[in-house]
Amino acid sequence: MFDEDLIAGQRLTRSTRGGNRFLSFKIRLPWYRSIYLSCFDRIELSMNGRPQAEARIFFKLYGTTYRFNELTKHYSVLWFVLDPAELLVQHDSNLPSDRCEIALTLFFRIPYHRHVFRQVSTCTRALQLEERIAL
Amino acid sequence: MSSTIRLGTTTYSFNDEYHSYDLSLESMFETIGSLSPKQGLEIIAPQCIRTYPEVSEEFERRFHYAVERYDLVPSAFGHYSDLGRISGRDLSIDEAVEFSRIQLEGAKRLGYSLARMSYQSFDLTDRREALYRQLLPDLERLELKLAIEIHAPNIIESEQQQRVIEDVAELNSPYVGFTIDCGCMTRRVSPVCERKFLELGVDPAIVKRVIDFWATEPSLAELRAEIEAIDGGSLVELLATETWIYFGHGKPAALRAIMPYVFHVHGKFFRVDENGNDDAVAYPEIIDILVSSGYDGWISSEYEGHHWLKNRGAYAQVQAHQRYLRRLISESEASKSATATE
Repeated sequence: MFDEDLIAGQRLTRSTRGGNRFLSFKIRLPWYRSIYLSCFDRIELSMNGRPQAEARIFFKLYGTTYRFNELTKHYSVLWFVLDPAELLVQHDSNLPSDRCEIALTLFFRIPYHRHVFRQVSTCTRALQLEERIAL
Repeated sequence: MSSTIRLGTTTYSFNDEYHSYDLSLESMFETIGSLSPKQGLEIIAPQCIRTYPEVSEEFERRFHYAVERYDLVPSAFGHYSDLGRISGRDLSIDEAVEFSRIQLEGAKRLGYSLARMSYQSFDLTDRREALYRQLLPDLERLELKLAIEIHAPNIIESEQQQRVIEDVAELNSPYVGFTIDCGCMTRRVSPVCERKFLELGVDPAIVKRVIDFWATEPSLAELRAEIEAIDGGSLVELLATETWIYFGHGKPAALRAIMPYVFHVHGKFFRVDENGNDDAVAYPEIIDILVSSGYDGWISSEYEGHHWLKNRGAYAQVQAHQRYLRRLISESEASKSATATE
């Protein structure tokens, strides 16, 4: 419904945490209403054409960071429709120093459609890398 | 206009403006209020309320302030059962009742006397367990009507829907009825949808084939077979699926039989054209039935053209839609007066 807004903003941020390196960017809920984190059960992400493993993708909302592949457990956490969240991708290799092409597809269940329909939202955008921030 | 039909709109109409931050919650209410005095305000609860399913005291305060300031009338509270909230299973009956009860109590505090229940909120394997039956004591306690939505691709005439209608009739409660979404009674696929797929580069001959196939009123299985036969890729599959989901084949004549149970109407529309007419939904027939049945509830104009057309033009469209509805209501009344005096 709001695919073009799925990737929010123009910036990709590099950071380190616990000795691990991450790239992160903001995303918006591409739907007309708020839904629970438990509805998000699949993601496809590539950076400069390289697919990123779901196990290395994290989702940050309201100050809490979740492993993406564990979001289905969180059926009481509501992602309010107006609030941006952040995707963090753990990476080992060196990525380009300035711009990065992000291709993101988010799959989610519509809680009131039960098992009939799933929503798929896709967005591709070139993001500008920001300075490294130490956490 | 002597009809007692009241006009309003839903926050769903302004999805695009709200999501893009062009309108805040309050400015959306203000915009709706500017459509006319005593404009009906329907809210989508999980779109507007940060603490959904709870209605916080802060939201309640802001809501009452907006209703007073912008001369609004609460028309319908957009309730959701969200039975599929938990991954891997449906909510249990007790969980579903509690989830709904929280919303209904919140709706009452906001001044609503009617809550729309989203479709697919229950199945009728066991009528005693239907969510609306389970909620009846709460509805009676709160003096709140629950209006179960009939929404495309479901239509009034479908077997599944007829079972619900029979059950609601048998229940015979002033607190359980229906919201009829006019999108389940369309005459054609909206040109807004068609144009979007042409702009995306789908072959015009294939667009025509898909839309012509829609007109044959296919079942889902037949639609899937046609998608496979066309083999046109994901955009063609999306077009075909959207024609099936958004544009119902129900006939307005079927509405007449359920009018005693119609508590609320969603004036679903996709575009009002340059001549001031809706070009997809069978409104002339629908309005005629509403007027002749003495319907005295709300029609909430529900703009959905924004699904295909991202021009943030909801206000002008809702305004044009309400003008269109007023004209149809007047014409229908005039026609009935003329018949009565003959």
